[in-house]
Amino acid sequence: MGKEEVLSGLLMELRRGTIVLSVLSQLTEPKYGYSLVTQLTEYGLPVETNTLYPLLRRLEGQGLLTSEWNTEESKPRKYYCITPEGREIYEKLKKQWQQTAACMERILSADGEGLPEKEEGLTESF
Amino acid sequence: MSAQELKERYVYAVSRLLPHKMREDISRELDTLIEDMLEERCQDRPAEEKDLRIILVELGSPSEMANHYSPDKDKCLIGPPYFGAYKAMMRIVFWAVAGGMLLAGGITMVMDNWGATKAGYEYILDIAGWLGSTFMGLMLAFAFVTLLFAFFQRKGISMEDIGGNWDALPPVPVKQERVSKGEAIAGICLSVAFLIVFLMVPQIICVIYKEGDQSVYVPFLNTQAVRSQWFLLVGMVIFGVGRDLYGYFEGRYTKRLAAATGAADLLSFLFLFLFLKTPGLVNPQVLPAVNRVFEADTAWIGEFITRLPMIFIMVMAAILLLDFGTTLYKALKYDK
Repeated sequence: MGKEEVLSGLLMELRRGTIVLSVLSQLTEPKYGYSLVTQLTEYGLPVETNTLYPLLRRLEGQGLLTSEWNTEESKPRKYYCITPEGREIYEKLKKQWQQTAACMERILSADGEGLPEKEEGLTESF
Repeated sequence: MSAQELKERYVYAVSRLLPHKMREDISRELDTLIEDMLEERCQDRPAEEKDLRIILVELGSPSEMANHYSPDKDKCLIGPPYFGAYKAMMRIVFWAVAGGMLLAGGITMVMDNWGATKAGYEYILDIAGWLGSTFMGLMLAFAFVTLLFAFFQRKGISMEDIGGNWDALPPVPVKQERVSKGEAIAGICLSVAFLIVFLMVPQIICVIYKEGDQSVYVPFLNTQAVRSQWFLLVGMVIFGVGRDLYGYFEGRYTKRLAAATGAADLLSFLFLFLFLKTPGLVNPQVLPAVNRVFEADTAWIGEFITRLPMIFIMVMAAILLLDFGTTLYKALKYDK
């Protein structure tokens, strides 16, 4: 396996977990799939459509999103919106993400200079 | 082909790979998605077929697209939590069936060719037939195990029994406490061989006497009667194999294993009892044949032959009781 292939696989793994959080964060108001793709791309997090659409269905199946067809526009579109349960999960994921990001920041800035002192609030394990 | 037709073909090709209940919804959504992508790509100019082709490359082939929609559990027949146990089970099944068929094939070939004069090619045909049967037997066994594990995967049946309670992890067994894997596989081999021999060549249990220069073989059991009760023989073997497999995976003598052994032995005995009670099981020609062997018409021989099934039942009861007793003794001794 070439270096590029290894890197691309690792990058994909790194991004995988961020997509769900990003999607949940954007669905406080109803949105259809392609508008979400465009919005995330504008934020600098392009998501492939063939990843996003199945993901939306999976999250709906898990009860985190709800969907409704809107046939009043020029094209029929399926709109997704976060459920109360989804919002609860989103808040927890967001908190965990912030803790992880802070940890990673410290780990990466230490860059092999030894472990820093342990701080409060960062003890939650994955 | 027009862009519209190409789009319709793509959406149809994806939808036919999806579960039925999802098809309509995903097709509609995919249709709008392609329209949106085309609109963004072409802005104010009309969409051409080549625009659509570029979009389809981005979306991926129909099978790739459909694969994204499949739930994880549908992406493989037997997934990671079960694959290790599946491989282990396939290994046992391979050795048990191949061993059983080898044993049964050996017995059958010896009996079929006892004193017979055959041409060389006939022996080759016999061996080819036996190889064919072994292959078919292995295929059937593999198919059964695969279906069983696919069912576990589909239903998400857990194969771990600790349920998050770490204290429930079994202690490391000492040597005497372990169920020998070789013993379990040998048991399965014997069960398989027993089944094949009994169903294929029940006539190997026979009385042989000489008539002039010819040897006369009189089967002890009526082949038709034996084969009519095939389900009882299969049942007995299933209980025996099930018990051996349970012992193999349990890996030690436990009270659970003793209970399973007791149940399997009891059911095997019940099936054996019903089998031996089959009307016309003993060939009526046996008694005259035995009298010819002993060259006398003694009443005790007739009495013995008549009572043989009952004697066999008693012997088997003693063997099964011994098997259960030994397992129970070891379970009580080691599983505290």
